[in-house]
Amino acid sequence: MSAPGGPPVGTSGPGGPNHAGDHAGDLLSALLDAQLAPADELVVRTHVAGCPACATELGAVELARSRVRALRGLDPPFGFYQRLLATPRRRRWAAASLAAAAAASVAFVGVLPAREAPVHPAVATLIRTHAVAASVDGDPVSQLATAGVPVSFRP
Amino acid sequence: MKALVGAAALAVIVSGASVGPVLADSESVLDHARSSAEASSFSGVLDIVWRDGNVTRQQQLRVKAARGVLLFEGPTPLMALDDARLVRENAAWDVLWPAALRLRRPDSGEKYEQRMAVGPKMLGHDTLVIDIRRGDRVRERLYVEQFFGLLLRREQFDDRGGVQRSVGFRELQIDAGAPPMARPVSTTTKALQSVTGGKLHGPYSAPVVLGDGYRRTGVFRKGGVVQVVYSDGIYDMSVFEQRGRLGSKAAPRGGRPVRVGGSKGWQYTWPGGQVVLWQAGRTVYTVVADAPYDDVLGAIRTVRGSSGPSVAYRFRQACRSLVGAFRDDR
Repeated sequence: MSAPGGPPVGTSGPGGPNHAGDHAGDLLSALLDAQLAPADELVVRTHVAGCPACATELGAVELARSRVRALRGLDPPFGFYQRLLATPRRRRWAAASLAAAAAASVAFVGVLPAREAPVHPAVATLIRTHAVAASVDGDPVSQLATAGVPVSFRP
Repeated sequence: MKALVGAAALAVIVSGASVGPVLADSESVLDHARSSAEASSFSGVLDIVWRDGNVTRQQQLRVKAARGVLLFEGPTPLMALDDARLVRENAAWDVLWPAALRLRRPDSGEKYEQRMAVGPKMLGHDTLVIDIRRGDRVRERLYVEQFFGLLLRREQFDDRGGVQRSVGFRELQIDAGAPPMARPVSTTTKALQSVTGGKLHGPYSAPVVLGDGYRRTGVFRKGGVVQVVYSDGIYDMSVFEQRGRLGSKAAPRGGRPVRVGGSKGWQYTWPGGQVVLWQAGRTVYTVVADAPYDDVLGAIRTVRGSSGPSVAYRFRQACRSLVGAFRDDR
């Protein structure tokens, strides 16, 4: 693999800087921070010398770096660090409360009897049972007759 | 003999009065009709007519009686054998109500006014007409045969004065000399067991009074079903209680949705009255009544579970649903 206009960016061996692309990329920033091994630094500099794109990018990165470094320092507002340190504690309390509520709910459910079984009332049978009871102390003809009429109550 | 004495008493009461005032012993007319049906020998065809929403339905049923045996013929034959009630299923007679069980109907005089008058001739028989009134409305009209005291026709009216349902003889032959009918030789039993109302536990309840003057007349249990029977002297109401939850699609089709307290319920019509079905808390209630619908609604509002599930119950259900959701995800 070769970079257009320049030699390929190589490596210094296993574990060394390696760039799979055609240009130096992140190695430029490492070059400015003096974090490359001497052999890698030589390879990157050789590439930049023959590659206008990487030379331009190196210049831009260097400019941005120098401008950030030129920014004036600011003091944090009063109590910033205290609040920063206190926040995790509040979160810990909230998390603990939530966990306790969940545990209580699970325990509440756990001590309850099992969920009630489904019931399917046999309505026709219940009607007949009622009519029979009503006929015992009422008029048997008019009360029982209604129970003798076939009716359907199906789900 | 008892029938004749009762009929003679009625004849004396109404003689000389076409529309009588409230009769002191009109209560005995119903008692007399019952004992007459149990003691007389007759055969005939009954017309059963009832309104189901906007539809009027009608069925006919053949009936015959001889000396203490009253038999209704039809797809599911029923029999009144003295004080017992039987049903014929699978080629055998089952006892639904043993003769030993008793219900004590309260006096209807506290709630209703009864007026008796000479009625029209029906099927060749002279009749007495008894109007059962509540306030200025006639709720029920009974046509009683004058000599034997047999109830020939019964009409229930709605709140606009229309006939809501009726049961009456379409054909009738009274034959005092009819031979006795065969009594079942052997029976099985599906009978209820009587329960003392105060001894119900768990989600079951049996208030002494329900709604507008419905008094508890008995508490029974069969399997997991508790039946509490109420009466106001004229109408009866059974509250069936089953522990559990109303299964999905458990409500029969064709029900009209109703609200019972905080719960959703369904209302149905049967030839003899109304059915209301709902779940509240850990109990499924089925109320079956021959009472007018407004009476039924008034009564079920006083059933313990009609106020809907408690906050604790809803919370438990919510927790259960939450845990269930996690279980389902696994």
